[in-house]
Amino acid sequence: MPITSDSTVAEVLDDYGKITRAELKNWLPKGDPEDYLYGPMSDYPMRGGRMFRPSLCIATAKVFGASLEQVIPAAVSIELLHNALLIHDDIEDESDERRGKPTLHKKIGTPLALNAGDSLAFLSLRPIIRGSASMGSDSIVRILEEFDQMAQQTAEGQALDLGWRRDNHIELCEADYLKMVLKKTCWLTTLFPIRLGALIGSGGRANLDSLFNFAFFLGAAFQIQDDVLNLIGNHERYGKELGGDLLEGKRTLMLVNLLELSSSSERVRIKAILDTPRDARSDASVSWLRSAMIERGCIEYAKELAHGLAGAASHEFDKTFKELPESSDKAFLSKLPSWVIERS
Amino acid sequence: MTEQAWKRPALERTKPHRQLAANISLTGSQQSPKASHAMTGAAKGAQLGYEVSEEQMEEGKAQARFHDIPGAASDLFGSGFSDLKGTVSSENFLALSERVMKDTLLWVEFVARSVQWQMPGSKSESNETSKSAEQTAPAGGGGFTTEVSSLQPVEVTFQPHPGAESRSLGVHDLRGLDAESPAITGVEVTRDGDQWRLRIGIGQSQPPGLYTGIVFDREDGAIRGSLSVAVKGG
Amino acid sequence: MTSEPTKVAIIGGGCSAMATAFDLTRPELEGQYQVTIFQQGFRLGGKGASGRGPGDRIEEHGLHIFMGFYENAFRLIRECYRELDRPSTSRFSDWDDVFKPDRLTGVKDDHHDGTASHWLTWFPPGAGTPGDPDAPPRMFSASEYMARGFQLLEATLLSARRDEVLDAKEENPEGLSPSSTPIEQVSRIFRLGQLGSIAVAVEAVHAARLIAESPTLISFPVLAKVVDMLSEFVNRRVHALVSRDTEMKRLFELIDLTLTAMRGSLQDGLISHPDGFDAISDLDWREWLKKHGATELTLNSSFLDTLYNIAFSYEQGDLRRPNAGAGEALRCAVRAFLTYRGSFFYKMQTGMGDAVFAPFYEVLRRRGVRFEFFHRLRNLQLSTALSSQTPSIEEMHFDVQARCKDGHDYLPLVDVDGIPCWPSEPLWDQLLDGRESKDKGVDFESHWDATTVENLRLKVGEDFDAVVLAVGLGEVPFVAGELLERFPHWKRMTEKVKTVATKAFQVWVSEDIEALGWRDDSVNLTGIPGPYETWADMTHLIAHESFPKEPKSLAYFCSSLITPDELPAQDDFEYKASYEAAIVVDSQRYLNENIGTVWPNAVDENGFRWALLVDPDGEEYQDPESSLRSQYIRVNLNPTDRYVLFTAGSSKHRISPLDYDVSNMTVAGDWTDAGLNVGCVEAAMMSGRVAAHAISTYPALEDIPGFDHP
Repeated sequence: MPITSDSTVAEVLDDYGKITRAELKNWLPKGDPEDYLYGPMSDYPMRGGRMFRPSLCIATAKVFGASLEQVIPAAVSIELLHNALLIHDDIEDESDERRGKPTLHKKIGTPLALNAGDSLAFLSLRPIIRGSASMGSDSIVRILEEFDQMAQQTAEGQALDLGWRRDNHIELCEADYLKMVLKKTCWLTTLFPIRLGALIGSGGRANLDSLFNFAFFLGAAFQIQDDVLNLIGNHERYGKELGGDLLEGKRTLMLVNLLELSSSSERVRIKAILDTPRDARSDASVSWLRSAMIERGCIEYAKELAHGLAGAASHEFDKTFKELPESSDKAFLSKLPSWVIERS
Repeated sequence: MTEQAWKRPALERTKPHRQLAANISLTGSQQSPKASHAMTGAAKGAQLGYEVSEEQMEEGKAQARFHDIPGAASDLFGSGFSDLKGTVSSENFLALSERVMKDTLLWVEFVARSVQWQMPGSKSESNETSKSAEQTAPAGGGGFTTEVSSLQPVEVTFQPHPGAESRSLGVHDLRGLDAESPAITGVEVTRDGDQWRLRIGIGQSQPPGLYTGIVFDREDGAIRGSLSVAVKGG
Repeated sequence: MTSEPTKVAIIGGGCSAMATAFDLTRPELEGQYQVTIFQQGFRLGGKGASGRGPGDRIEEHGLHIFMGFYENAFRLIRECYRELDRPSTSRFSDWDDVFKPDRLTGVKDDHHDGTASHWLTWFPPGAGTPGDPDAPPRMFSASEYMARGFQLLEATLLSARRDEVLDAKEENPEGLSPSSTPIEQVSRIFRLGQLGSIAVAVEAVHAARLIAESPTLISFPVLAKVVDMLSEFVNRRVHALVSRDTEMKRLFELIDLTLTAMRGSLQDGLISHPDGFDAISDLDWREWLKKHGATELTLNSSFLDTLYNIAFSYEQGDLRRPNAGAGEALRCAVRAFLTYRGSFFYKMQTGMGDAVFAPFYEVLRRRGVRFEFFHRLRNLQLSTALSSQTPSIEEMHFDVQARCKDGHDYLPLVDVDGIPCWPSEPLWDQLLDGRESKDKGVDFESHWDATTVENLRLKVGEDFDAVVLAVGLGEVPFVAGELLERFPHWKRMTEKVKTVATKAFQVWVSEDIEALGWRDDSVNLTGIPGPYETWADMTHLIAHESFPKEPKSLAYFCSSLITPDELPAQDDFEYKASYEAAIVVDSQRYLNENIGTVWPNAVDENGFRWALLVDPDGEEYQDPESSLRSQYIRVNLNPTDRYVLFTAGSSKHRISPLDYDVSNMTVAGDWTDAGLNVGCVEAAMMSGRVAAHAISTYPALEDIPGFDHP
């Protein structure tokens, strides 16, 4: 079914996702050691997923004038890298489930999972470099710079998140949280796909920084909604264990808000809960945290904040994309801000 | 006892904070995130987003990591914020809210009018029994004619919204204040050139009272006016 | 800092004292404060003290009903019950066994033609329960109040014409949810508009609320206009309906009152005023409403009377002299109507002493708090420091009213059906020469009984380090004379902050209220003509008493009592006796002449049917006098029992627990300046917590809900 301006976000994701996945398969190595490396490497990419990042890249590139063929390699690269980082995230977060199944390290052990993740990360650059060969060396350099920028920011973000958790840091404000999300999530999820798409689509002529706000706000709303769903979502659709973030002591907006609303003695209690190792953290304390977040409106608050960010993203989109021709891809992009906060 | 006598500790403050004015965010006022407890989450989301973005952009520029095309990125943080603040999907929501507001005022005005009718001597009454009375709507209702067939004395008030005459109109059944009274049904709205004609038939058994209904837009369902009929009894 | 704990002496054992002691001995403070509570007589509770009399009947100082906005009181009480940890088999194992939601309140309407009818108001349940361990700061914001004001209007309209709008409500059970989109609202107006004018008004208010709640639209001019238009509508409506429909009349009085308060707040700029509602404290509540255009009907309405009655707001107890500071009244009204959680009212299932003070006593004792009963403070002695220096309390002089046998501690509680309760008399057997005292008729709680067995001097640094003066306001001049002399503002405070005597009457009846002719559910009703304005049905307590012949209903009546401001000398024994004699006559007249307006079947052509009264010992009486005396009648004349008023212009003279007049002392009680400043359990508990903050900087003021409030 061809994509039109009336297609829903889900339809576009489905369509671009299929295209990306089909191409992605070609890049995944086969053969021995199948059980130890290549099998595990294709495990996550083959589990499905929304294909939000590659679709975002494809649509942006097309809005800026690229053909589908031109952008597919970049989309594949993004998705490969995303999956590589998921493997690492799951290990770092000690998560049990990913997309409705056990996480890779739970299946094959951490060492092999780490190795598979590394290989996937190295592999991820291959499609885009090969695919961009025709664009000239200047473009390849800029793509690599984008890649480098994204990788560094993402690592910084992940480091902040993990560091805060290791040191049980709770003196965080909402701005701290957003900065962390910007680095940890937005670069890989929205900024990089959009910037890369615009770079490819415009042949290097687009002002990538003008896309910053749209991409950042979209990504931040996306992450907040994700965190909300982690607490109150539908388990089957969400695909990870509900409340996993609480078990992991992840610094979410709800947690930051809860801490802000808490009395000093409650803060002590929350801090103590967060300080407990994941395995020793009792169900009771996790459910206390969760119900405190619900009772005090932290979740509602987070949703509102995500709404605000999505509204701002819409506004930015109108501002920065207004000169570009109308198309089904532009329509898709314009629908994303409301989609990220409405998905369940 | 040689030690220092116990004294009360010094306190940071000795009065309640009674001024919680910051709680209504007035349009355009710039508040720091800390002082904005009651700022809505949505407004705060947008504000924080821009603040963090700005900070990151500055950081990024300092690191010379961005590939600016000279002169192209000047308008990033200039104008967008103030008119956006607090809106979700902005224009639509605002427009809808305004409509609710307008409809509210319509209703208040409308009910106030029905009260006026109930106040003894507050309004002249038409006492003649009219087989087929024809009266034009009050001021502001230009372009509309109401036609009443009734054996009881009645008073009709029609209040169209400005611009209603150019729409395709319908009228709901008119309900009484008293829930038990039967509604006045079958109000007809017809168009005759640029004149609208509202035809209302009131049966002999219709209990006295005030009956009210809404004139609506057949296309979008919006309220375009109100119609009330006071049946005075025979 | 030494490792020795600071010795804190709390004088008085009422609500504020419990709160201070509870906060100062929290485990978090790691025993930094060693607290001793000095209490005259044999029981804790102050104005909230109760006792078990003959037939285990509960005897109260008056009617105590908790309100759903008592965040501090409920928080502490809930924590206390958690710590008390009664077995789950106990009837009163947790706070919610003791405090039950009470959703109905009645306001009596006094027709001038001699007939009367009552009015029951329904308030929707508020989210959560009072004292839930969170208090979002948004709760006390001005915008929230505006929005909730509209909610209240909606609820009121709905309660008046429930039948009319029921269909619409059922069709859309989330009808009041602000989450529906404006377009849904419009279409709802559409549907509801057909139901009649009340439904229309409901929707108009609802839409106005939407505007008040909308972050994008809120602006004072727009809101003021909406409020104005609604007011105009209401005013016309009232005049149109006044002669035909009393229900509508009352409804619109309430709406007019709400709208006037909203309009007044906008016009007086209270929302942005640095002093918040204190800015209008010099005006009487009614005066302020009048200034902002409330109709005469509203100003004279029984609803407004009720607001005065609830707080006994009459100077010298004289109904002709209503006086309530507008700022305090407005604050209390918005707290009461707009911030209650769970239910509007909570009724205790036992006496207040047993519901509140016995649990606090037990928990505090476990925490190591010492209780010195039968200790009446006579004087706080100030240091003779230079007048430029902040003085300290050097000595405290007590009259010890009684000593226990063999130097034991007095153990004040008795077991009633498995629940520790306060007796209505001292446990004489524990006291040295207890029998003799009993026979002499010693009254340890009376201001006019000077029984003393020993004079005790406690010295600073040895016996105590810090003092919390938590006695009733009426008592302050008698124990803090040196302070009044030293500080003019203390003297002014005792003159300007007034108290009022009250009276209470409890009646056990052999027929249920339905048989007596009352046609509605259990009520808390005020506005009855006669010597008692307030009636509350307390039938639920009968199950916890043990009369030989069980009554079918139980009614509490209370009212202010007319007395001069000045107290007679401590040796004027006639004073109390004369009021006690008069109240018997009053009560008899009340039953004969007034009770028929709510219990038509309780009277016949000869007046009250005296055989209806049930004696706690099972005696049967024929004569009115004896029947009446078998019931519980009480006048609260003791200075410490007198209810604290918040008359116009008085609030600024209050002393705050945070004021630093004496270096080792603070104050607590509902007479202090501690945020709420009206006479109630919540104000007292808040004050107690603020006093704990003054001593220890804990709890943080921000953690005392309602302290920071407009």
